[in-house]
Amino acid sequence: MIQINEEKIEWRDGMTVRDAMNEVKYSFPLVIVSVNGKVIEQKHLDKHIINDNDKIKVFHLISGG
Amino acid sequence: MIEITINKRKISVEEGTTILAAAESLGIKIPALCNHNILKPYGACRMCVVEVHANGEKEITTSCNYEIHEPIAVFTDSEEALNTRRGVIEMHLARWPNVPAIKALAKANGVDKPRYEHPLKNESKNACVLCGRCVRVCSEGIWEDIITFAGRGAERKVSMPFDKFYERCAGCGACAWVCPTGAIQVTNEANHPVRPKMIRNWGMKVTSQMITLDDQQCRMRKIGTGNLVEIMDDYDLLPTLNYQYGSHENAKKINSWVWQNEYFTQGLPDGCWYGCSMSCAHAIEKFELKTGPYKGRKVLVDGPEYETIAACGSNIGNFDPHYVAELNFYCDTYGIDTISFGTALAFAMECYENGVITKEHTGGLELTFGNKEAACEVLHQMSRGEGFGMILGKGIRNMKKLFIEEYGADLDFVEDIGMENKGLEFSEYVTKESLAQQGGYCMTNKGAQHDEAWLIFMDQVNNQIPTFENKADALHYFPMFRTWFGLVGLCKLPWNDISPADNAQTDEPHKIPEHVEGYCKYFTGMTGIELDSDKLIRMSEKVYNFQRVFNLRLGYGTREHDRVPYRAMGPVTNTEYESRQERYDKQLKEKVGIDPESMSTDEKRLKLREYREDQYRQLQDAVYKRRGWTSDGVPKLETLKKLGIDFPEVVEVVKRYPDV
Ligand code: SF4
Ligand code: SF4
Ligand code: FES
Repeated sequence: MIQINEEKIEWRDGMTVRDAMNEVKYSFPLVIVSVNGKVIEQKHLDKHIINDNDKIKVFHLISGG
Repeated sequence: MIEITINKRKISVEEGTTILAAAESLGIKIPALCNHNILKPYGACRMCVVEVHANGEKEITTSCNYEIHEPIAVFTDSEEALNTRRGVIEMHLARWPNVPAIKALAKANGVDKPRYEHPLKNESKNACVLCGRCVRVCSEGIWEDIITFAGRGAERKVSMPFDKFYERCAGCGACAWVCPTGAIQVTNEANHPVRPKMIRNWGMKVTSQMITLDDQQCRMRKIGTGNLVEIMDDYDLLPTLNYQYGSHENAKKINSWVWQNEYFTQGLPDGCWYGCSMSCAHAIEKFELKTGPYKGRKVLVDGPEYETIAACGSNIGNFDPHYVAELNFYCDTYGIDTISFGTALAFAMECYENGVITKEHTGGLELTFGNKEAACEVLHQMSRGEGFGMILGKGIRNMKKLFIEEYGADLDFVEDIGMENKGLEFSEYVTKESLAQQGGYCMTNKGAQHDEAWLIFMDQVNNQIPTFENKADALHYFPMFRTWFGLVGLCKLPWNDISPADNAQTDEPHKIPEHVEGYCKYFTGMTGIELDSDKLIRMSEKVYNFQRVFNLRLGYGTREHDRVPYRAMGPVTNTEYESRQERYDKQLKEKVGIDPESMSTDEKRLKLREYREDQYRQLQDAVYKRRGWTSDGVPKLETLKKLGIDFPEVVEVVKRYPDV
């Protein structure tokens, strides 16, 4: 199990941060993502592998008219 | 990743990185002149030459536009590279001996004096060194081609067409900002700002971010606010069928890729604000109309934007992009707001589907969700002041009254699903899961709009403002901050639709502190009056409280007028409840503390309603307190005093209410 914001989802071997975000449909681009408190740069979201029990925080900024 | 060496130091870089950028990340400085970090590499001045060894071959090449695709060894200061560079510098120095930027490069690279006299010698300190940065920023950044290179060889120079001033130039100053020599100066400061440089420097920060970051962020330059359609759908926030649901399987038919790939024809600066590098308004050219007085004509549609796509699309069950654009065009042509039209029509459609109104009332129109031809017909009727269009044109508040008083509609149902506050139709977000945004829509002066606050992500996704006090703080700060844009007449999109690359490292990233500071500087630069973020809020607070008092004077502005139609709070019908049953059941268990297992949907829906309405009441208490108002939502005398707006006429209005 991993936690992404308030939601809990199944962990899979090889899962990247982006995979986890896709699972809960976090498609908004203006986000600040951290794994266990450490900020992950935008360009590494597709590659950063997460471990079981990791805590991901996806902080959404505001946009729109 | 590719392993390379620079001056024998190892570094692994992403494929496509330039040598110049790779060197920079190692702290190795390579002299450069025509290169600029917000512009595409150009390779004109040859100042940045280095020695590269690849596949056993050696070459001297410019590093700013050399993309790395294989393991290479780079020597930035090999003898051959240095000699070539010195030759280039010498040539520059001979031609432009007094330009500080050239002199500095010469000094740093050990070039003393040119050994020859240049036939085109120009002794000005601000001479143009033909680096082309200005030409590129005007084209790449501002999407204009106001200045270009003209002439060849010795005649080559930067100029406007026919060597005359071209009125299309926005005077944005981007060209002057990137110019390394000061050859370009903006001299006509049309609005007479007190400190023009201050404004330009901050403006260029945003322009630089637009040029370098927008493609990965909100795609404002390509698609504009329409980028939100698929995002809102993903987060269950896209209003569909009069805000019953937040997503729809057909939303993909009207999402931003459809507009970008099949409809929008212009990749141009939009003229919304001349010289704006965000240029978020987009248009469809040669659009052939299918209905109405211009049927068959080809027209230009200005839009659609997100709100229009949702209001005239998903919210009325219309997933045909052609008809979204058609409604967009006719609303604009008739002078009708697309949001109020769409939201009012969505209400009428739900009333029709539930038998509140029938063909008898609509003049034979079948007003079911998704009936796009009927939607157009109602709009045309509205423009002529005829038929059901005339009724719809009066807005939801008047329709509710009419339906209840004349058509015998069920008061509770109509009040629950009529999405308006203070007579203004809701804009296009589903707020059921965000208590703070219910406040953002309804504890407002203007009625149900998101211009004052948009807190859904902070509240619902980040869980960043969990307590009533946190939410009240946000419902103080954001409405005040966003009201300020209206006071000074500045667009707020460059505040939050682009964010600085290092925004994540700031204390309050959701406020985008660098951009708040920038807006303060615009104000100071224009007026000469120092402003910081606290003073900015105070400025708005005065106006905001004035507006509240104004509402009171007109008979609005108390607690009862901040009421939320229940559709904006939670599920009105059992079908709605059941469509998100897992979510609601979980909340009943975890937040309300009851076991939904053996309860009927009716019972569960009512329990949830009780809970949510009570939450909103508590939020009202907290927000009014934070804003310095009475529990009825009236500004207290001490608040008016503190803000310096306790004028007799103002005091007289509030004194009629208890506890002020
Ligand atoms: S001021 Fe702006 S629009 Fe005018 S030439 Fe310079 S970059 Fe282009
Ligand atoms: S005017 Fe300035 S930016 Fe433009 S080419 Fe000349 S030196 Fe470069
Ligand atoms: S900086 Fe590389 S060619 Fe000018």
